[in-house]
Amino acid sequence: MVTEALSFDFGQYMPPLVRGAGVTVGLVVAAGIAGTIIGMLFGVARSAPLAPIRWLASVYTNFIRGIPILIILLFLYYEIPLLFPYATFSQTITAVIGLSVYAGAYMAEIFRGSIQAVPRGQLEAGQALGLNYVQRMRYVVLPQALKIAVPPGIGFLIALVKASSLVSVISATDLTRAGRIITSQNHQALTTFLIVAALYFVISYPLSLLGRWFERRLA
Amino acid sequence: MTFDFNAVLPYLPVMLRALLISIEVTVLAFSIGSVLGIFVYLGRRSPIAPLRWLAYGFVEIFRNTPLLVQLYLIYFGLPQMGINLDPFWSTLAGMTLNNAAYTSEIFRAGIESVPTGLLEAAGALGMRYAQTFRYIVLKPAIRNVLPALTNQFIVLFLFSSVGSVISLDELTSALADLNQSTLRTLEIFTIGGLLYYLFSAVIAASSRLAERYLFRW
Amino acid sequence: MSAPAPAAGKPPAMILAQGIHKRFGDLEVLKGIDAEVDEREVVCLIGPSGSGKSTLLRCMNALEKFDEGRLTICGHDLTGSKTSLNAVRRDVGMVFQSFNVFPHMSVMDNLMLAPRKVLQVSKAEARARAMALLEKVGLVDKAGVYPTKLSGGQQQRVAIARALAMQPKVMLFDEPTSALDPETVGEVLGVMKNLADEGMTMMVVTHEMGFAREVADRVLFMDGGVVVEQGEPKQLFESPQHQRTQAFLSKIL
Repeated sequence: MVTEALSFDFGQYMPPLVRGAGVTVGLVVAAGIAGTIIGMLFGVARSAPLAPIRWLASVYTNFIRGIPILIILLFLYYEIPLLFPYATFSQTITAVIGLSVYAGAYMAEIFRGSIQAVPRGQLEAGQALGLNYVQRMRYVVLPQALKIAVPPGIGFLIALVKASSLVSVISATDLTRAGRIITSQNHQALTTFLIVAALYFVISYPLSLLGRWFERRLA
Repeated sequence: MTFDFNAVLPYLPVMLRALLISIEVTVLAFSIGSVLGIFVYLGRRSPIAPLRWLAYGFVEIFRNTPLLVQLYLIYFGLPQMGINLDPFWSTLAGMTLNNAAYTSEIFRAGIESVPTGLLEAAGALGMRYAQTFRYIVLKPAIRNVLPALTNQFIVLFLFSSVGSVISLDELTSALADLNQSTLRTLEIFTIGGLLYYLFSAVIAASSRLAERYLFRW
Repeated sequence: MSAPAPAAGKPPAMILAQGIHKRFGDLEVLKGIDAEVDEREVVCLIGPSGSGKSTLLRCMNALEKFDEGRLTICGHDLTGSKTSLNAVRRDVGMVFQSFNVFPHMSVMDNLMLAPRKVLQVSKAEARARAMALLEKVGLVDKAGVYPTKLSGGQQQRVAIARALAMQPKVMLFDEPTSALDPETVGEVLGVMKNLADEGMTMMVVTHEMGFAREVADRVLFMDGGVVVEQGEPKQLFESPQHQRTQAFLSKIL
């Protein structure tokens, strides 16, 4: 019974799984880039001198980080058709939007920490030279903050890969969804999902190692 | 499109009951998982090489694969080997194993962050390893891990939402159902989100308070 | 010694501090400071740690805000909140104890950044200015180097050149050599002495008594948040009037 449970038709089912893995990687890259940009904006906003800007950015990042990613995805899945009743939305786009919102909030927190980690003397030197806030951010603080943000950023990327599995719930055709579809056909849940897990591992583990390498290098 | 909370208010008890299930599975998974995590950490430090590799593999596998896939394996895969777990136990099993992997890393960081200088000083004073551990390492290590553990608890709580996919009647599942029946998407998910957020915020604040009172140095 | 300050009918002081008070929470760090620096003067601030010397200096380019009193620098009144801080900082250069050279850009870029972005100087002009300054501080061959490859003394000279690139009217030095290895202290003090000889108005917080004795026009001794004594270096170092000054100097010299 165990050997029967472990049989798997690689020829037939591997291609769709690999395609699914490709979609997952694409989602993570897209949301990662969007999230980094959003995160930089909100990260800067959270250390801005104007209190209302700081507060708004704080509310956004704290709220998004305090709710499950699934809630964000489900909300968008149900709400977007209500807002745009005549548009046909590929669920992949909804997935990217949801993951980007999620990534943006976490990257904002990472950037806020990184900006604070830039030595105060650098900021003061910029001030003493007469640079204004935007100039100080752009030429002195942010370039150094970006370097500091790399190890935690990679750590988050791994979390993003895992979070992306939830887009399968809103019918986006990622690796997990491919696994579900295949399981409904071959009824080999154990084997199929072990392979799915292995594929996720293949995507994540190198990132883990990369993150640890950066951490050692920048320490 | 109107924004009408009153239409949704009567469903608040339903949401709160579902929230309780989310909390319940989180608390159980966190407690059992943390204890398991201690053993995994001990395994990582074991002199027996295969045990070390086993522990390392366990941690890496659970940290690099999604919880959803782990739950699918438990809920859909195990029955193929004759092990049938209902949604609650499947979710609990998955979350527990996940938590064990993460907390073992937290313990590792906490214990290894105590400066070796302190250990050397204790040794020079004639203290044995067990004594050193109890008096010198434990308290600072606990203080170091408290924020990380709190964070892990909150993360685990948010993870509980994944149980909805394998039919566990926790908060997210309740929200999806209510959305189907009332079609008040914005209000349902806003309140649902707030419930998750408020619980997380309360936990985080309590932990900060505890830190301030317990570790006054 | 720098060129003597103009005598009768003299122009307004470059830096004028009157009754400056500053508190950090419950601790009062500056307890009513009066100080004055004329154009082309070099004033050294000496005193024990915690006397408030650095705090006073940092008030002068608004890195710290003071609670009471009046402070004018290069014609800018720092007392009100209406003054544009950036305008003040264009006229006032500052050199820090920890150099604060920007590690992520070359020496040349460090020098060119502020003139280009703040003073809107052209790239060519900024580069020419930078090269001239690097020559002045003796680091022409390091123009393309990144600061992490330089010694502390070299980094501090870059910091001085960077501040000078803005063509300030006043230069503030906050313990510029305190973080340096003894061998490199001399090269930095040499640059500062040349600057003084050229007529730059300077206020220097320092522990280098030799520098103060040789280069300063006036020395202010601060202790516990007040100016205890001030005068020409020869007079202050050789015949200090106050007991606290004598106690401090006997420990240092």
